[in-house]
Amino acid sequence: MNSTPNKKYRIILTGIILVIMLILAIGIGSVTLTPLETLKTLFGHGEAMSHTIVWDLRVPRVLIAAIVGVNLAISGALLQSVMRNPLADPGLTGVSSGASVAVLLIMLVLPNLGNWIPLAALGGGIIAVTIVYALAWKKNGISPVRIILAGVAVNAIFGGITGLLSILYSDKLPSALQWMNGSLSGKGMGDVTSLLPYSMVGWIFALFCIRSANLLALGEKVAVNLGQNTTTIRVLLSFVAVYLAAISVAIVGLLGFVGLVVPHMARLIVGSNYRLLMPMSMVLGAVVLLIADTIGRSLFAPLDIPAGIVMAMVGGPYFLYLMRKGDM
Amino acid sequence: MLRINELSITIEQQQIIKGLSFVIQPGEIVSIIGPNGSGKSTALKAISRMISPGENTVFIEGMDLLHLKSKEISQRMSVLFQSNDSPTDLTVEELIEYGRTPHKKWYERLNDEDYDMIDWAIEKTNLVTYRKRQVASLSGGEAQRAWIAMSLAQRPKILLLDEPTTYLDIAHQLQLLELIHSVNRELGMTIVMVLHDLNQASIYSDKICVIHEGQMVKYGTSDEVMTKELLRQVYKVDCDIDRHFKHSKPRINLIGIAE
Repeated sequence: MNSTPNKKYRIILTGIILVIMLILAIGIGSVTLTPLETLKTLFGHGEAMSHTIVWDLRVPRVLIAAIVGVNLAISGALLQSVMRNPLADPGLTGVSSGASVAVLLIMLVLPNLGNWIPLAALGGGIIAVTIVYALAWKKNGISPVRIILAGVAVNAIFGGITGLLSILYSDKLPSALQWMNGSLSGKGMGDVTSLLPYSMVGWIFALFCIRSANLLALGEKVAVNLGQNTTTIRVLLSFVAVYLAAISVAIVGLLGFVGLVVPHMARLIVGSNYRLLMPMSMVLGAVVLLIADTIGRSLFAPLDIPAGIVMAMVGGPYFLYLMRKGDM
Repeated sequence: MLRINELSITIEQQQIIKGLSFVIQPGEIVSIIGPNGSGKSTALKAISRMISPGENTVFIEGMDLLHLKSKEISQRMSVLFQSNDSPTDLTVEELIEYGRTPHKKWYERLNDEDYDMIDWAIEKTNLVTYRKRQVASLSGGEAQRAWIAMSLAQRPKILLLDEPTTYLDIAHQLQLLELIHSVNRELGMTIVMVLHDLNQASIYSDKICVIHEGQMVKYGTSDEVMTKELLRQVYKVDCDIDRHFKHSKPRINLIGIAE
């Protein structure tokens, strides 16, 4: 048995890895900077050109990757607790596709409502999660199998709408295509400043969810026995999860597997107590998505492979490996 | 302490419980018995609010269960279920700590008093050496004790148990019933449990509630309840009844299925 302090160090260690990764990732690209040059530039002592590259291109991109990674990891960790299902994540439950249909609708059909994209994403996510609950809820609680079935159905419906929209509005599609694939390219400081404050609100709420997530993990009956109002908790936790997934989808589009795989990896490292699992998922989510995006933009440079594609190609097999190992 | 008043439960157009009424005094051990499908577990679920009992049917210390907040109920009453599953790496100690939840506000941490209660529950259930073990790695009897310890740490006035001995071997069954008995005697905790074994019910209960086809057939002491006539009527069995030499309570010796 590993003691709690020992596990806390693992979170801190992962945090240090995150900082190192951020510095390395800022240095990687068509113009490569050594970590020392990167640090110099970050603190305002670099050359003018590297200053532009770092602050206008690289910093926004790595920050978006880290923030979105945190958001999706929290979202998955919360949904896994609420639905008592290891497969629950914003992707498989249809939350992401619900949000993305709403965003696509605005991008293609109502482009002058661009300011409403985050709110629309939230609305789409809530609709999706409500349908999943309605289908998966039975008298004695949520049935894990029905969640997956409901998620498949919801994803199919929203996938159909996405397909329909992209045919009807094929002329406007190219602008939306990068976004649809979960790409982090072309993000500027404006995206960071619009995403970060909203995300931080979500992170704070997520930390307040830790206790409830632990109690729900004991099972519906036990949570009620301990005086919890399980319906209220479920709604609150789901809302935080959907909120974080939706604001991320609004900025970077569909990015699968982060919400699914990261909480699992975190569970292997620190166990299933959310007091450790939540912070670990947050830090690890940032690391994982940052690595995925950095691989995507440097592997076939100058081609920019969307992080969503990298996550699917690496995350999918890793997920199969986890299943084979019997950890879920 | 606990008053059940005209409790009726209908699930999917089928009436499971019909007009159940009885009163449990503080400090009593009450067993609910009855054949399979008689509705005894449903009755316990309703009393423990796992299914809604309806208004004006269940009263704790004179207050309608439906008018109390879930947390207020959990400070007074705890339920132990037949089987539980927990996260695989949850330790005995962590599980028992959750028992203090009803007494804490959401932002409060456990204090010395809470840890005293947790230590007491661990000692009471003989789990000192299992403290750091994972609940999932324990045997059925040990795991059941860990869950009881959680309920004890909750310090309820009323403890409800749904067939607590069902999955245990006879030694663990006895151990568990002795534990429940000693908690009842030492703390005056009111106990309501659903039991399958009639002799266990007879020995350990102050009162027995017999349910048959959703209705209460008899409510009284072991001597009043354990009669050949009643057992033939409810269980359709013939038996002989003598007295347990140690507890001097009625003891049932099964003869066979009634004609």
